[in-house]
Amino acid sequence: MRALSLNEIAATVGKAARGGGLSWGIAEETGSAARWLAARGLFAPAAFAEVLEERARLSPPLSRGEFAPRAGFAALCPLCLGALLCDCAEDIAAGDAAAMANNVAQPLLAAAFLHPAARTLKTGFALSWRGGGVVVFASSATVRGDVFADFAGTVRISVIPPPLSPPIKDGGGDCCLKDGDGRDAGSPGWRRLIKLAAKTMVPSTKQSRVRGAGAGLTDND
Amino acid sequence: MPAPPAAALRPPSVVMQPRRMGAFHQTRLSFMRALLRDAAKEGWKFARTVWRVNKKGAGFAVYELREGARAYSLAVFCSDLPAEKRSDRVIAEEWDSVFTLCDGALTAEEAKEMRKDVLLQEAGRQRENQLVLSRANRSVRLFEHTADSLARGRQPKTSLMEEAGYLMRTTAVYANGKFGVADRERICGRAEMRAPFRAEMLAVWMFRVFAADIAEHLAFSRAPGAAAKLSAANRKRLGIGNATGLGMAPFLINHPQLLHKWMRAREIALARARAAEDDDTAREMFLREAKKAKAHAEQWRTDDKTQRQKITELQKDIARIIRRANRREKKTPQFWDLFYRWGEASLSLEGQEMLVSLMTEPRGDLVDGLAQEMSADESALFRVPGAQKVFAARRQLEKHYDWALEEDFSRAESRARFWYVSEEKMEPRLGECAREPGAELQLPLVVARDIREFHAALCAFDSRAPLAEFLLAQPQHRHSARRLNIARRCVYGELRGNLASARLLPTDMLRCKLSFFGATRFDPRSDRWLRVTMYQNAPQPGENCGGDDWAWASPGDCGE
Repeated sequence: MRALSLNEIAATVGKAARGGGLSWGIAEETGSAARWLAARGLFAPAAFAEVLEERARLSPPLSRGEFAPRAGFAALCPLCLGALLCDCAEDIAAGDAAAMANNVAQPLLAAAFLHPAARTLKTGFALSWRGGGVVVFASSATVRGDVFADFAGTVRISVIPPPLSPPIKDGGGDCCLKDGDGRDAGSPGWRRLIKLAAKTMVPSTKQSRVRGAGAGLTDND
Repeated sequence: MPAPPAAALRPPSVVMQPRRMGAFHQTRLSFMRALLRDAAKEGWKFARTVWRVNKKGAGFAVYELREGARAYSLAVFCSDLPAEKRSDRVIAEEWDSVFTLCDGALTAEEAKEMRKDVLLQEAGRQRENQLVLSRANRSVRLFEHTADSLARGRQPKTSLMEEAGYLMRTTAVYANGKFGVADRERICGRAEMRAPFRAEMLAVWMFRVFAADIAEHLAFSRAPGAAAKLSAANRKRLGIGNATGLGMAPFLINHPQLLHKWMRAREIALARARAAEDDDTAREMFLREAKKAKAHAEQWRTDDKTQRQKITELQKDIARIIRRANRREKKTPQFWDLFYRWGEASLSLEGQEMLVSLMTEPRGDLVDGLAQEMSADESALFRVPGAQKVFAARRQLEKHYDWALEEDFSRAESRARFWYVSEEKMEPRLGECAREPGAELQLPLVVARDIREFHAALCAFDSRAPLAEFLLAQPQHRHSARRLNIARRCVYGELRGNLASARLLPTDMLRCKLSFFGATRFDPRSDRWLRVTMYQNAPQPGENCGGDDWAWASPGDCGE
């Protein structure tokens, strides 16, 4: 197996997110979240593909005060939730009580969006759900139980002081990828992401090949 | 150590104009020059360790560069490509040579194993120990003439060498994780690899040796008893060509933190040079470099009419710079600052930016250290400041993007174009909105327009709400919110132009980036791609001749 590079993962997942209909801004953060996960052995391409292919069934959070899906939606989009959590990280860090999100698809993906906030606020963010959870630090993570859960009815969000001796990975849970190795360029999940990313590209015409790329003069010299 | 005295920095409103950026020349801070300084200072060793090339020029070679305990190896695979398959462009599928720079030493067997994937270029899966992936073609003007001349025991014609400038030219040079090569993280912590594009610059510098070796090899194959070697002076005279297309233009927009670092270092260099003492040594060196620049401008060939006019003006400007530098003025502390102000008022943009290059040239002690400050940790400002209030964001936007708010989008020509990624080659292209499909898939590169829309939306929103609330309601502005947060700390991060405008010349952006690389002899082949020369007159790897005095050095300057 030839491993995917982190840069390929960030670029392709970012494009796939855009191809899946997200705004450029959230797409960039989706790419960054995937990269962060991949660097920690936690990247499951199928999880991203699942969310992006099913975007129509997933809702952004209701409001800044209520991390729950809008009426008529089965679950929260973890990418929209992740972006909002990162935006609200100061509030979360300031409040003593844990924040909570309801009906979250692929909660690990939402958690990964918090790594820039963990960096600027120099703290860790813990997301936990029934049977699993993850603590996100700027450049490390601790995982517990079923970290790759497809869905969580309730996700609790709290602040954890940074570890004294990072980086650490894995708090003793069984952390194994369900999509084979997440950095395998041949995995089915990765192929689904490539397909989504292709939706951002414009099919070539003879005109675009000549004009758009800017030839027109002889190439040889 | 306190920072040296400096004049005021030129403001972004002056510097970040596409036309000015499209008039930049290489400076001491350019990446090739910084690489050569480091190579000379640290005494990097260089050797050809494998040469398995047949009489027709097909086979492979390995070159090794040693920096202390570390090795970097360049594996080159070459073939005998029929002329009709040779193309300069990224859309080509076969090349005379393909090459890869690897981390560590490489045996012939290890290199051989990589052949298949390296030949495939974009279509292959590369390995983690590869740092750079690229390819090159022979110059139709010069390569065959050189091999043929050498086979007859003669050196190639000087006039032809000067006209072409190189034996081979690269097209794309890929690194940083592309197609499976190593991420930049693998090497960016190493002192010798910290500078931006260092691995790419190194690969091309090493490949330049191969370009001369293969020409000599073919000559010897044709006339084993009679063939001559390429003289050291001619090896030095020949650089490596590069054909660069649109792909570089989005880079400058997508990396505002990096662009800021590059531009700021260059501006600080100028500010220090303007405030520097007026001494005879500096005046002499300035004059010497100006004369070399003049000779260089006289050798600069292009078929592009606009660029030709600019070069003519530049030649006149350099003559005026030399005349002024020759005037025996009394020494004043403001000598260099007044010189620059005179240039700003009297010279063309090409001339003014040449003056920047020339004035910083004698100031290695004040300037070279800035090359260390041209990398950026782009994750530092990645986070959107969600807690910021809408009114504060609006105020910052009005302060840092006044130029974008002033941009007039009412005319059709200011909305004429869109940038997109082609499905075929996954490369950026430019489309005409009126005539081509795909505008709905355009890349977010028209910063001025996006910022204006962001501003209008901020104005219509509850001004005391935090950005988090605004962006939840209007996620389409999230990309601009991130840009704004970067722009307030990186004042040289935004090119002040409209990328949708029919008047914008993408080649201006390409030239700006290539000047930071250290390329010379910019030759626009259309408004969208250009050819340049890299490492012309530069020493070879492993050669020690100061590493610095090469930019326009005339042949024979290097201790020969």
